[in-house]
Amino acid sequence: MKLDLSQHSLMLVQGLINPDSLTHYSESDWELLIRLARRVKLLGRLTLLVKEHGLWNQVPPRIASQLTSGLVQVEKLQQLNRWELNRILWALDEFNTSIIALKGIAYGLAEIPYATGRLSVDLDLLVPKADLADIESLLTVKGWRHRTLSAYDERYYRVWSHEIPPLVHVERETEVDIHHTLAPLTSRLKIDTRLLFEAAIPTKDKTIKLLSPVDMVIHCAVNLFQNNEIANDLRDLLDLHDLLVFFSVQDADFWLRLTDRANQLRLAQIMFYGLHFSQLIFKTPVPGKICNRLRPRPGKLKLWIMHRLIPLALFPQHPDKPTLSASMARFVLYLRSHLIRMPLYILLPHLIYKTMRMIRLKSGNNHSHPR
Amino acid sequence: MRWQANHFQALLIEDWGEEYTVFQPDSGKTHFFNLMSMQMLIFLNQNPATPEEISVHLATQFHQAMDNSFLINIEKTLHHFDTLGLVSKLHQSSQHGGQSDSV
Amino acid sequence: MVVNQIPFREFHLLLLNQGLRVAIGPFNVCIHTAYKPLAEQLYKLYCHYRMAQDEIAEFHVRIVTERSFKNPFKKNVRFLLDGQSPFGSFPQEQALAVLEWGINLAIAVRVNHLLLLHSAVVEKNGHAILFPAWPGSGKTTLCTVLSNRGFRLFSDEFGLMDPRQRLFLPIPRLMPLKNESIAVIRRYLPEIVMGQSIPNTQKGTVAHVCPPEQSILLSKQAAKARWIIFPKWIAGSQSKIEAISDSEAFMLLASNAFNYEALGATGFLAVADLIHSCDCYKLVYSDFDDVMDMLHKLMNET
Repeated sequence: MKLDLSQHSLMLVQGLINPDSLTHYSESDWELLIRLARRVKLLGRLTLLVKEHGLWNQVPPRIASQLTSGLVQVEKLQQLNRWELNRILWALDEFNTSIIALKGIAYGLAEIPYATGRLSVDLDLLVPKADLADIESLLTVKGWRHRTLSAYDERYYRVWSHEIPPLVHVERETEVDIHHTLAPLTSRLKIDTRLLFEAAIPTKDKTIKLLSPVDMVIHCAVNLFQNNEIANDLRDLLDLHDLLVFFSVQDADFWLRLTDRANQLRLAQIMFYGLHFSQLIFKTPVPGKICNRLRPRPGKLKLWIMHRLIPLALFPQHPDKPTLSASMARFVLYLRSHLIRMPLYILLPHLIYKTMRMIRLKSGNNHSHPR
Repeated sequence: MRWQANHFQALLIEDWGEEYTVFQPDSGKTHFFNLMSMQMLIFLNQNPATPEEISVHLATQFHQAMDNSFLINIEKTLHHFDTLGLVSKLHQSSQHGGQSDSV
Repeated sequence: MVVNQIPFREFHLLLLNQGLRVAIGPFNVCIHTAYKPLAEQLYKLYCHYRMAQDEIAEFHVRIVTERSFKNPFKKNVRFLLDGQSPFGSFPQEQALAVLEWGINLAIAVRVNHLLLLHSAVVEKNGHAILFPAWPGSGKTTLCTVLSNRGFRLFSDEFGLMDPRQRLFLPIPRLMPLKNESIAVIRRYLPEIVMGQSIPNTQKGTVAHVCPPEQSILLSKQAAKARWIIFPKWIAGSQSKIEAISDSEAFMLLASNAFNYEALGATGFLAVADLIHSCDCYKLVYSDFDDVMDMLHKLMNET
């Protein structure tokens, strides 16, 4: 299948997969590239690439300042995340449990290439469901609080979600998302979390663990194609590409392990999309027949539809010329993400509630406080 | 219970004459300390110590009576430093010479 | 090329089509709007700014109009940064105030290659003077007076510091006077260019003052800071200036900055160095002439 991308999307993806091509970018190309990269949380990544490829001196000064600013922000957020994890482990010091780091913080601990350029806002952790209540109350004693939520949101988290409402320490701002499984309880996916804990790998700091390489990859795909709405999630697909490249070089049997595990966890279809789009967009070296080992795979029609929608949504809109087709793709994927997370009888009231709230927020215009 | 300073070498310290601004890279926070708090951190960096040992040391240095309220203040500061991640409890297994927790 | 060198028609077309690019201190801002009253206000107040049509712009902002949700017969305006709306919509009369707030917000959230202190800055004889913001400081009013009485305006809002060279960079923007200070300034400086009063904004009534032409012209000339003065305006007070301790100045400055924490050790070292190289004071004032006497005395002492 061929990839049909708009001009500005091509320019972004070129810069990411072939940074040497950036030497041919004009000043106005750079200006647009920065705006696009920022929109999809890839400014820090772009900065790392420019430096790594020795292009720093060829970048226009106004662009270099923005790249620096982007990387400073990324580094600050990563430092805050690491510190939040440090404080969580401190607060749970005397409680014997297993904590698995997820997403950005995990990529950093696993030393995945380019993890230092990843914009990670929240700290994501996975804990055994049986320990969840104890952990929550221990953290509450030590100063973490739930953000004030509406009764509806509170119930949504408690009854249907795969995580508890986010926690924030009273003296800090980093949001901690504590998961007890990797997909919402309402979704059709039933992931056996016990298998993930059994395969988890300890880090240098013995109290914190990482998902095994294949599980880390699968979770990345689940998160992108199942938990999110895909709009502007190009960063997450690039995460997947980075993980695949890194782990497949380390372990000759990686691809076999990955596909076996996806089948075992019954996440083959999502893994198929992950491999398909990572290869399509970032030219990930996925071995030829490997996708055929996944069972079940999406049918031809489904794949054709996803093929039309996913790239349109993943890539940022042109900031000055948004198109209707991209907006439509986002809307359809938004519905899809909710549909696979929840059965209709939960979904419809949920969407009605969210729409009503959005309308109320839009009309109540004088409550925001610009500086 | 013995306490020790965490990553003391990494701290950036500006001395304004008995008042200090301290940057802690791990947390990214800037702290403001008086002379006694600073001396306490320096002491805990040299050797892990119990609150009682810290009290004796600081009381001598600042010519203060080592009474109960002084000890309570030391413990309060320790607790504050602990939540800031500037000091931590020394775990039994890593204690030097296997002292008991009580003095 | 400066804004007042082109006719309004051309200025308006730029705002409508490819965007008007103006240099504001070290940044270029690209502005789009189809709302003509805003174009007219900008033409008047931005008259001294340098145009930068062929240069890279760091900030791409837009003021769009939309129907009010509550009252379909009224129009609202909305600020967009790269097509995203960081805050809600406002009555159309507030367009200029919303645009200026929006640009400030964009600078405050995106710029991390420079240290951004929350402070007014003016310069004289090559030395910068900082007037950090704290509640009731009246820094914008003070800045308006000083910049029209022989001091060069750097900013009424951003203490923009290059953390490596320890230099402050001018970023002269429109100065939004609030409430009673509008009348105060009209009395004290009857000659200055001021935009129309915009009532009922979130900060009350606001009127924008154009920075002096000279301050905009020289906005590439950076300076090192020599004094940090924490001002407080108290009606009818006897003006008074007194030294404060370095550690207190550090705390006040660092705890009220835009990106001090984001810069980590770089920010800490820059502020420490800044405090070491400055004399720090607290100022209580109600009379501008008194303040200028005091500043001149300070400057003559060194």
